[in-house]
Amino acid sequence: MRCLHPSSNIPEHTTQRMVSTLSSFYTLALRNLSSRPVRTLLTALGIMLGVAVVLAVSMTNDGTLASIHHIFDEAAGSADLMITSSGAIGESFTDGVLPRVRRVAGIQLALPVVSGRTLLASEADKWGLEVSVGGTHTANDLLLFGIDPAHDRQVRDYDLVAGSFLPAELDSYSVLLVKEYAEDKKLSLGKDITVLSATGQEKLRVVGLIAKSGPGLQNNGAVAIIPLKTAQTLLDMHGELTQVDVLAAPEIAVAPRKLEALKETLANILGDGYQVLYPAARGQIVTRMLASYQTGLSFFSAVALFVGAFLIYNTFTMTIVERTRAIGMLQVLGTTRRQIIVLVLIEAAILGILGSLAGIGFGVLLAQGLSRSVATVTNTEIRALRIPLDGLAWSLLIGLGVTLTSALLPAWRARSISPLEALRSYARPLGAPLGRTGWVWGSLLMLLAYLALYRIPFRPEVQVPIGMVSVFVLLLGATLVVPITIGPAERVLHWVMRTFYGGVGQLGAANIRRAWARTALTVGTLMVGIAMIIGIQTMTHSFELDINHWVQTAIGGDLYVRSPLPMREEFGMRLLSDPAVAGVSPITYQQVQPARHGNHGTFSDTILFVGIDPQTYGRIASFVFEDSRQDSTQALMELAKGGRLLVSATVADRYALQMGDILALETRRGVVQFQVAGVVVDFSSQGYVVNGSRADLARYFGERTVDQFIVRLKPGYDPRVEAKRLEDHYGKSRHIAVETAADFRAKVTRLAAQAFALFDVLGLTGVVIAALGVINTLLMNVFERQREIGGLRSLGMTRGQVARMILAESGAIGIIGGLFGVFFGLFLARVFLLGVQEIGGYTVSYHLPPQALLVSWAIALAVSQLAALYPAWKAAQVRIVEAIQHE
Amino acid sequence: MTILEARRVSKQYRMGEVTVHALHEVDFTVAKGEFVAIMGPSGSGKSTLLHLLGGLDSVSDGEITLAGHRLTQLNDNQVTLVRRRNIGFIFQFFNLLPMLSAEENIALPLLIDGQNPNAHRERIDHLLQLVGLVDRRHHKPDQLSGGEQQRVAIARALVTNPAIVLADEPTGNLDSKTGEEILHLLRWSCDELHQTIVMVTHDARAASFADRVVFLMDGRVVGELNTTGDRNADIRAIQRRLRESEEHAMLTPEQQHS
Repeated sequence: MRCLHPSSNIPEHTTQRMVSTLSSFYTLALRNLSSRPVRTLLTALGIMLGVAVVLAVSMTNDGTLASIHHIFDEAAGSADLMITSSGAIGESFTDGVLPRVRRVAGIQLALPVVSGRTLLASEADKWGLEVSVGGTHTANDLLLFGIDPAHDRQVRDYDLVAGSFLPAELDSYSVLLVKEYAEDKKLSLGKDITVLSATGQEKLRVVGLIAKSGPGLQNNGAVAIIPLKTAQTLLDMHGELTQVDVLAAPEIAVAPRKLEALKETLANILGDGYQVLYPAARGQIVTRMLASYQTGLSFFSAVALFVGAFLIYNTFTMTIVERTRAIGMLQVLGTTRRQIIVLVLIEAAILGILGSLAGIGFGVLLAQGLSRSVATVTNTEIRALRIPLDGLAWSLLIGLGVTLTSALLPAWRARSISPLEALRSYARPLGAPLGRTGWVWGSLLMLLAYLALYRIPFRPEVQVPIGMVSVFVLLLGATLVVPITIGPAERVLHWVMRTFYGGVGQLGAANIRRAWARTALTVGTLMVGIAMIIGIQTMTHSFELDINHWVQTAIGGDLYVRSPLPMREEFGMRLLSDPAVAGVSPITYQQVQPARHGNHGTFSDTILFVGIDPQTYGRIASFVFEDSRQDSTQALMELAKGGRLLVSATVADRYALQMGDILALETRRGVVQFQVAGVVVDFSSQGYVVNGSRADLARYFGERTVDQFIVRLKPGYDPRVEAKRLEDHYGKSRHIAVETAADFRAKVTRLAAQAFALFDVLGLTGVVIAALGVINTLLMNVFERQREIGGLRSLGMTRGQVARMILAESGAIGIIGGLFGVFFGLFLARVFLLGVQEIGGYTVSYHLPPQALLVSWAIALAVSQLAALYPAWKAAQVRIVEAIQHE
Repeated sequence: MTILEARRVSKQYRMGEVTVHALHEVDFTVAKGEFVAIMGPSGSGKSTLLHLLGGLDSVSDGEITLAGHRLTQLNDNQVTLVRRRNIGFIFQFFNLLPMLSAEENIALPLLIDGQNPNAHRERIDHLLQLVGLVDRRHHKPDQLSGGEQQRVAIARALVTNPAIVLADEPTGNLDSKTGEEILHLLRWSCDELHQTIVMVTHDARAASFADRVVFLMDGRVVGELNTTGDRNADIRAIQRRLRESEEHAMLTPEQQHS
């Protein structure tokens, strides 16, 4: 035989050799993965779920924000700047400002706009109030958008699909409708529509239909484009505007600094009663209100990925154990330690890519469902979800990155396997990471997390990200502590398992101590999943309890009387004269803005100013104070003095306010300083609420109309019956809608449940991934103990007993994992509530849900038993003769 | 020509608080093309010696030189590379990779070395023919008998044309007939291919296939025997020497010196 020396004449470090080696390792890695298809599938599934959830939440959040921005951007058209009142949002101002604006150098065009809401007369009786995360909104109102028809098309793009544009006159009673809206309401070209106005009803002739784009996007297409003066008449805003859109000279529009200078010039000329904005700022105000909800969704999706990372680490650690001898053999054959790492990481990369690709596909599907839920909860129509290329690339990178990172430690440990391992007749169990002293490191990590969360006063802007990192550090630390508890836990559990599974149950429980490192890792994975459920459940339970308490206490009265048109106080007197009515209190809502100067912190917030009548409000409803020593009667007396506010806890937190501090608001009369008379719990409008007197609202914001009357009925009167009666009596003449307080409270609590349901789904995803980890562990245990199982069978153990032994082992894991999960879940709940406070500004009391503890523990047990079914079956199928010959 | 030399090699292990002296100042040489068997009872240090000769473990003291490479002066990576190209291993439990076929297991050292097995197709085919497994080339280890697996392991050990083949109880997991076949194969590779072989065994019959037998006892070389080629006579001589070595080991140090 010719003696060929295969390795002659080829230098060690040629690219060719390296590429060839990598190619060989790739083949080996594929073979390794395909030789254990179930485990490979389970691991890839873990990655897939984590990536899918992250991508779905990211796409949904982006879609929501993009939709909102798109609406505002489209409505603004090519306007470079926008002028509004600096007082209340949507507040009108004199049209005398227009010539002043037009005289400013650098302005090419200044277009007046008047906008307000009304109803189609045919829908006045169907009018109602809906609630969402962003606040309340009317269910079927029509936005009147009054423009200068001769010039508006220079700024906004009207995509006319039928008929003609508005005639040039400012006072014609012509209207443009969005085609979809017209079809939905069965309104056609050339016909008249009747809308409610300040003086009654008015007819408008439909002269054209536009596409649902540009200004047609406003109010989800329920917008009527009419001439300016017509709008002023219908809305009773003669000589007033709600905004001026400014088109800058071309050379200024393209130069950001010049545009900024023009903005400053306009603001200086117009003075404190006005604000000059970039059109995009309007969208940012709305998106800010949703930010906390979206941040929460993103956080929990990241947690799902974290649990997936644990599963991967778990799987690769077990894989290294299984292949200890093979890895030792590879070293005997001349594979270097670095090449061993590369081999493991190539396997991880293949899994990461496959799992991520599957996750991207599943994530896109998941995003469709998630976006529908989020759209309902946030009252935002999310346009067709964009599948961003960069988002896909990021998802792939995240999935791959998480997999490789999780496999890094097992890969590193694989390199330390001595070639002598190849010569052993059994595989030695791989120890825990950091050995038996891991609990010291784990305790240190937990202490660090505790200090970061509770003791170290970080700056507010970094508190939330540090809080999130601390949660991960806490869970990681807990996982390192788990191993030291396995031994003591088993001593208790063996008699529990004996009780349920007989003698073999004791054997099963004892098995958890044998591969204690692997058991600990699986317990840790289950712990994370259960802790997330407990944490989320406790958080949502606490939130719902507080919301319900607030709803029952602060949303007082029996009936709410509302109208799409402004009501007068006199109508309240008429209601009071009704024999069923015991008390009536008027309320007016107005969006206002904090002053740019004079407050702690400068934020571009809008705050809901709830104007109440201190004399009558206290007889019908009350407030829930942060400081329980305060009472409503005293607070109302303070409000009656004027210049006082009851601020919500969110506002107090954001502006660092306490009793007696000052909150400065922009008003028609300039900046006015209001004294804080109390801090109340209020969940409306995402918590950005202040309560003041209607007298102040009239004095400083010029608002005298009434948005709502709260009515208290005399004893013995049924709210539903009286609601219908009042609506029938006044509905046609005054277009009122009457809703019972009970129905409104139900709406609010239903919304809360809907909003939190999404978090529960994310929490469950963590548990599903943990279940995959349990299956992996048990399959590995069964594989390793083939000879032992064969021996037990030869001693007379039946297949059923073998299966029960595996179920008992898994049950022990489930019990320990559940206990740890419950303990850390309670801790996590406090952390989540802190996070809610930091992100959303709400102060929520911690309420422990007893049923959630039991349910979560039951979930842990159920997961452990379900996950053990397949491994138990596998173990029961072991053939005795083959097993005892197993190496 | 000496292909392998171990000089005053010692190896100690710590087991808890106790230090175990597995080898004590062992001198051992192997000439090119020689077939040497190392014999001794359990705990004599024969496997330890084999591990050290193969660079699988490091010496506590002494020197090992293989094919011109001073193993004791190389780092872990360098030893690995020496092992990759100069040593073939055969183990008692075969140690084939379960997801690779017989052919792929044979080609594995080439793959690890970054070479394209297709470029060495002729050699691999020849080795398959040599070990009589041409028609089993695509079978996985769990589809092969113990003897067939060991033959695959032998072919794998020879594929890189190593300077030396180290065999650790190659027949320990086989029946006598199959074991005999394996020993004949090893003998043949030595005679026809001039392959240098060091084999650890506790079986006198297996040792009789070697050119020379080295006896280890309590970590020391206590004797050597050159075989004659007369199998039965060699077996008897080996068994006698083994017995004498064991009896000698049972004497006190004073008795041993006297």
